Amino acid sequence: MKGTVRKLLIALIWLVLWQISAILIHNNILLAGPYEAMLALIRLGVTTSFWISVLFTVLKITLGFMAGLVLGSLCAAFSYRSGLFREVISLPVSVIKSVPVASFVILVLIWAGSSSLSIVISALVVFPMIYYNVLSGLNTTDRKMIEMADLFRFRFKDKANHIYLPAVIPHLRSAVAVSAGMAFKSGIAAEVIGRPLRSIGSGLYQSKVLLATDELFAWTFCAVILAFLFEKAITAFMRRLLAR
Amino acid sequence: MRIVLSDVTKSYDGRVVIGGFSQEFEERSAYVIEGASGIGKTTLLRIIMGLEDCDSGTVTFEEIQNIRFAPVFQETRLIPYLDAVSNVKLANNGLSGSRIKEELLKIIPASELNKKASELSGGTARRVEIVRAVLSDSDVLIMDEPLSGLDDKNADLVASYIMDNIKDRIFIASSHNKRLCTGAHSLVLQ
Repeated sequence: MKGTVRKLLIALIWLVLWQISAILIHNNILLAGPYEAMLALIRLGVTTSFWISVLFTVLKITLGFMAGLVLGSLCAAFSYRSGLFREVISLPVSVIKSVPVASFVILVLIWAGSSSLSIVISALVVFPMIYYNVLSGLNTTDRKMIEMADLFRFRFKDKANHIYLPAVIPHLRSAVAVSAGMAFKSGIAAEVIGRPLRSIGSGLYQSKVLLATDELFAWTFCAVILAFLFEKAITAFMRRLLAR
Repeated sequence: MRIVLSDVTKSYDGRVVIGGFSQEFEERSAYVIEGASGIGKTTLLRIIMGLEDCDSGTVTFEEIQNIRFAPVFQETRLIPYLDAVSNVKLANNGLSGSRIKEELLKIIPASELNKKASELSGGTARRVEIVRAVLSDSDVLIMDEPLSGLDDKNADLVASYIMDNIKDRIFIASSHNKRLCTGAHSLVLQ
C-alpha cells in the first residue's frame, strides 16, 4: 500500500513537471502538456474511428504474433529433428533477425501493400526469437528421458507432451514475454511508415502532419497501454495453454 | 527368440571396459550379470539395447523382428509430475487404469499410488519402474540393479514379482543382490 502511494506520488510529480514545462514553453506544437493530451484523448475516444483503428491494429498484431509463434515453433521442431533443415534455415533466420525492420516494411509495402503490413512485420519480429528459444529449449531435453520414451515406444503425442514440452516451456515463456512487447512496438512503427487505413500508426502519422502534439501523446499513451495489456493477455494465455 | 553376443568389446578413453564378451540369451530365461561396480555391467546392458555401439564383436537377434526392450535404468526415469499409474500408463497404453493400479499394489503401498513421481522415495520409484517394464508389451526385460535401494523384505517381494512375470521373455539384470540369482543364470563380468 505504502509502495503504491509512493509510486503514484512520483508519477504525479513528473506529470506536474511536464505540465509546468508545457506552460513555460507555451507552444502546443513543441510540447503539449498532460492536460492537453488528456483532452485530445477524450476528443479521440468519443469517435468510432478511433476505436476501429485500435481494434484493427490489435487484431493484426495479434494475428502476426500468433503466426510468428506457430511458424517459429514448427521450424525449431524441424531443426531439432534434422541437421540439414537447421543448416538450410539458419541463414534466412539470421537475415530476418539482423535486417532492420524498416527495410522489411518497405519490402512488404512493395510486395503486399499496406493492409497486411503490420501482420507480416510483427510475425517477422516474433519468428526468430521464438525459433531460437524453442530450439535451445529442445536441445536441453534430457537425453535419458528420450532413451526411456523411445524404448517404451511412447506415442508421439505423449513424447512431445511429457518429454520435450517440459524442456521447452521455460524458454518459450521468456521468449513470448519479450516478443509480445516487440511485436506491438514494431507493428505500430510499421503502420506509421505504411499508413494503412484505420490504424494506430495512421493516427500517429496524422498527428505529425497536423503538428498536433497533443494527439501524438494521446495515441502514444493508448499504444503503451495496449502493448502492456497485450503482453499480459498473451502471457496469461500461454500460462493456461501450458498449465500442468 | 535368442540374443547372441559374440566377442563384444568396448573401451572408453583407451581403457577396456568390456573385453571379448560372448553369451547367448534364451527366451523364458533369466540372466543376472554380476561383478564389481565399474566393471561394465551397465555398458553391456546398454549395448544389448542398442543405446551404445560396441567397438568390435556383434549383437544379433535371432528368430525375432523389431525386438522390444523394457528397461529399468540405474537411475530413476519417471515423468516427475505424474503419479505412478500415469507413468506406467504412458508405456502401456492398452492397459486400463484399474489394471495398472492392481498390479502396482502388488509391490507398492496404496498410500504411494497418488503421489507424483518426484515425491516418491528412491525405492518406491524403482518399484514403479519395475511394474512399468514388467507390464509392457516387450520381448526383453533389462534391469540395471533393480533391487538397489530396497530393504530385505521388499527386495524379496520384488525379486519374486519379477521372476513370476518373465513369461516368454528374456530377462537380463545386473545385480549385486544374490536374491535375483535364484533360478537365474549367473554371469560374472571380470
